[in-house]
Parts: sequence; structure tokens; C-alpha cells
Amino acid sequence: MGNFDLLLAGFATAFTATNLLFGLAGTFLGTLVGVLPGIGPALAIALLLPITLTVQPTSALIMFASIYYGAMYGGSTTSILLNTPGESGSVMTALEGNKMAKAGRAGAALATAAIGSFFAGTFATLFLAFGAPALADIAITIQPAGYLSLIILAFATVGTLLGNSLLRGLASLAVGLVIGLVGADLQSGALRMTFGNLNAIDGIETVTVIVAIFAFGEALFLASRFKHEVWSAMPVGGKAWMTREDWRRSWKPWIRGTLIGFPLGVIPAGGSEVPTFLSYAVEKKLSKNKDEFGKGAIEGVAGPEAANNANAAGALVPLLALGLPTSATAAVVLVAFQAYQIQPGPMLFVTNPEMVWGLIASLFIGNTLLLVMNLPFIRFWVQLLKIPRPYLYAGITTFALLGAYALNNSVFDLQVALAVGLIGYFFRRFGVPLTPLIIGVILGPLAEVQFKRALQISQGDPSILVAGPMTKILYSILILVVITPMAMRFKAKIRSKISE
Amino acid sequence: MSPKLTSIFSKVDQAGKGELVFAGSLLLLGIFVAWDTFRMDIPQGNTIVSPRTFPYIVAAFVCLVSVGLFIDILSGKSGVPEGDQPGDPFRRPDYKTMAIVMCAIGGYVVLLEKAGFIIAALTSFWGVAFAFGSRKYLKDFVISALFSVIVFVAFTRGLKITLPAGIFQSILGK
Repeated sequence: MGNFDLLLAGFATAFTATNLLFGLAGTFLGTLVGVLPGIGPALAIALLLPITLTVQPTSALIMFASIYYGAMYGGSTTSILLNTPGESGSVMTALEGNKMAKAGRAGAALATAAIGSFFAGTFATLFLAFGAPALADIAITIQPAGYLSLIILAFATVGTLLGNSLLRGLASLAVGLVIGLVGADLQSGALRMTFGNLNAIDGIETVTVIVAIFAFGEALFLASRFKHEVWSAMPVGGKAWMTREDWRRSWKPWIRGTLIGFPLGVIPAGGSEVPTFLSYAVEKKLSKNKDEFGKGAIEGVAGPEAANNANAAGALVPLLALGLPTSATAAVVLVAFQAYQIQPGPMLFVTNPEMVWGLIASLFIGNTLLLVMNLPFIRFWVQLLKIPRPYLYAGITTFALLGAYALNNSVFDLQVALAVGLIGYFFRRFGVPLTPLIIGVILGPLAEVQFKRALQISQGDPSILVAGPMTKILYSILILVVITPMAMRFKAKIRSKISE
Repeated sequence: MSPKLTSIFSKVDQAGKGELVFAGSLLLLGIFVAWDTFRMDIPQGNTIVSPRTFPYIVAAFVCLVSVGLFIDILSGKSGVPEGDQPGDPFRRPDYKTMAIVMCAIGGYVVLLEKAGFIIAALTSFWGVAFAFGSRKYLKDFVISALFSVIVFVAFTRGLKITLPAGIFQSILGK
């Protein structure tokens, strides 16, 4: 069967009543958590992971993927109306979007964000449907050493591209790697950093880390600056719709945003920060209304929003085809797969075709549902922004406490969550990004497995780690893209020290 | 402080001092990982790659990053808190609000298995709402109680997830 037939079969899977219902629930919940500040898609999916104990894998994964897409739509609403971006991908939207809202053009900003997201989501999902199986075909031949080089490249890019300080990204990754070490070594059974605690032998639950670092870290951080913050929603001016002029100015940024966002999701660029920023910069450069930028230019909303959604679809490519998550949300989806004993990767399209194609098909359906939910029903979502802040954070914190416990019914997990929550607070306080930590927790153990496999194949000869064209190419990229700028900066630093 | 020390710290601002502690803890973490790996018991069996190799690499990486952070902070480049722009003034953390949030979360952990989910969730919800400035005690209590009961019923009955019923065992337990 060709991919097109498989996709059609996927639609048959997605259109069953149960799966449609879970998809609908996912888009609803996704928009909800996107709109509400303080809770993002990664946290929402992590909190819902206990349902993997009772729900069919296909239905649950359809729901999780719909949450992922939905949060992108909801996030734009909050950043336009509140100027507090709910997630990193919406930061750029807030720049122009909130200015538009202040000028009474909130409706147009919301519409170009929603329609742009729909456009980008649909095309990017199409790229995903045909790109991921192709990548899987190639990936099936990857050797452990090659896989290890891929993971190391992902570490480097995720660690250095996020946040505004390279070292702080790497610090986050380092802490994640340490958390990933805890527990019994799979091969020898040697215990690492368990402090003699029996609960720690199985390692630290990734979900606990995610829930704690996002929910508790955020609650503590907000508490730490409670005295300083002000919170007010903008009224939506007029209907969420665009004039002919708005359309004329939006369609090109949508296309460019899609083309920027998708590939940057496929390669491990560390989530939606980089592509949305790039798209914003491109639109600013190309716009005929440059003086409008900073005062509410619609291009500055249309481009980054499209890039954000295309990026989400792009991130699913390495997740499904290689088993490599490149963003925090993709990492949680990977955990969901693992909860069902399914390992995403090259074999997924062979072993679970019905599920994976059902998932892709439901993304098309979800995307359409989301457009409907976010245009005519925008006023409903805006009402949510009126929930009093104390209740909102009380609710999120309590849900997180529930989620941290419910997966294993374990108080040990809760204690770990408290500790990780404190780490999350200090990270925020000192400007250390959080995603590298999560990538480290998930990919660290995987890196070790591949490292050992490679050395076993070579009987302990380390030269295998750089043998073969794939490792050579990837490590060259690593040196070019990451290490060179780092060395240059260090050199400049030393020079300025000497000249002082 | 000796003049030399003062000159080392001359570029470190108030926010940077806290961050030095952060970088220091990272260094300690790296040393700890190395020490823990060194004294690790390895069960018998022949493996080509020792279970120590990877943790040592991680430990070295942690220490390296920490040293880099020290250099960064001492040269006056402290981290920018999330949501701030570089150059924003330093703001002292609101320790009182933080302490209340910690107590609310801690209360949940202590109460969960002893008193049950409903009491524990009521405590954390009410406590966090209080921390964030809600002072309508009766209304807060009613909302906390409703939230806890609805969530409990939805998760245990709807999603079939077990949660401790605690003191309501006789009414809610099966």
C-alpha cells in the first residue's frame, strides 16, 4: 500500500466515534491549556498520562496530539489579549499582537493567528504524512554509533539554542542528565545515586519531573514575584475576522512561516523559540510597512503563528520516525508511547501502521475543529481569562499534585516532585531554560544505551564512535554550528580580559 | 575582604551573588556524581563497557558547565530571570508568598495518604489561593471543597484512577 492509501485508512481509524470523541476532547483541552496562563501542552499531557492505564493507545495518543495542536491556537489568544505568552512559541505573537489589541484590532490579530495556524498546520501535517515514513526508511539502517551522534547533536542544539545564554542551556541539560542517571544501570544492575532508597531503583519518573518543573516551579516563581505583577485582559474589539487588506498582508507571511517552522521542527532546534523568532525577523525585513512593526503590524502575528504551528507538526517527524523528541511536549508524547510499551522509531510505521496513520489523520481533523473552535467561539475562550488568578494557580497546583501521585500511587514520586519543583524555581530565577533538562532526562539514558551498544559491537574500540559517514557528518555539523561560535566568544572574552 | 577578592567580585551584582550559589551547587552536584560513581558496587558479570564510564562523562560535563558559569557570573554576566529583559532592576523574591505556597504543597504531601485526597486537595487549593492573595475565606473554602470533590469523583469514577479516599472511605470507598 502506498502512503496515500495508508493515510486514507488512517482517516477510517480517526473517524470512529471513540477516536473522534478523544480528538475533540483533545482539541478542547489543548485550547483550554493554551489560553490559561501557567499551564502549557507539556504539562497538560503529563497530567493526563494516568489515563494511559485505562484508555486504548490510539485514542489516547490522538487526544495527546490534539492537545499539542490545540495549545498552539489557545496560546496565541492569551499572548494577544494579555501580553503574557503562555508558552515560548507565542512570545513573538505577543510583540505585535498585543499592540494590535491595544489599538482595537484584537479581532484581526486573533483571526490571522487562527487562520494562519490552520493553514500552517494543514500543510505541515501533509509534509509530516509523507516525510516521516521516508525518514523512517532511511533511519532503519542507522547504527548505534550513528544514533548516538544524533542524540549528541540534539543535546547540543537544544542546550545552546534555547534561552539567551548558551552556558545556562547546557547547565539545564547537565542537571537533566544527572536525573536520568538515578536508578539501576540496565546492563549490570549497579545502583546509581539511589541513597539506598528502594523507590529510586527504577529511576526517577520522567512525568514527575515534567509536572514538577512546570507546575510547582512556575507556582513558586510567580509567588516570588507576586508583589510586582499586574494582570488584565484586553476586550476583544469587534468580531474575530479580517478585512480584505488584512488578508492581503497575511497570506505571504503564512506561507513563509510554514516553510520556516516545519524544517526547524524536524531538525532538533529546541522547540518553537527559534523558528518564531526567525519568522518575525523575516517579516520585519520584508514588510513594506516597517514603521508599523512594534506598533501592531499584522505580518508580525501571521508569520510567527504559522511558524509555531508548522514547527509543532515538524517536531512530530523525528519523534515518530526516530524516537527522538526535540521539544518538551514531544518528549511527553514519547513517554505516552512508552507507557503502552510502544517505542517510536523507524519500526513504528511497520509495527503499528494503524495507530500512526490514525494519529496523522486525526491531526487533520483536529486542525479543522480548532479553526471552528477559535473563530466563531473565540468569546468563550476570552471569558476564561477572567478566572481569578488565585483560583487558577490553586487549581493548576492541585492538579499537578494529583498527576505526580496518580501515575504510580507513590508518595516517593511526590517528594521527588517537590525537590524538582524547587530546581524549576531556581532555573527560572537565574534564567536557565527548562526544556534542555527534560530532553536530558529522557535522552540521557538512551544515549548511554547506544553508547554501550556501539562499544559492544566494536569490542571496546572507541574509534567506532566516529566511524561511518553519518557520525562524521553529524559531528562536523556539531563543530560548525555549536562549538565554533562558543570558542570564538570565549576567545573574545579572554582578549577583552587581557586588554583591560 | 582583601582588595584582590573585592576586585574579583566587583562586577557581580546583587542577582549575581545568588547565582554564584547556584553555580556552586552545580559544581557540588558534579563532584557528588563522580564520588557516587567511584564508590558504586558493581555486580559480577563481564561487560565491555563499565557502568562507571557514562556517569563519569556526565560528572565531568556538569563540572565543566559549572566552571563556565562561574566565569560568566564573575565577569558580570548574570542570568536574566524568566520574563525579564536584560537590564531590568533586581527584585527581591517575595519569600513570604513562596513559603505559603511551599506549605500548601507540603500539606498535600503529608495529608494525602493519611486523610485522603479530598482533604489534601482542599488544603493545597485553599493554601495556594490564599498565597496569591485571595481573602474571601468562606468562598475560598467552598470552591476548594467543590474542586476537590469534583476532581476526586471525576478521576476515580470517570477515569477509573485510584486515589486515597482517606477519612471518607466509608462514604466514597468501594
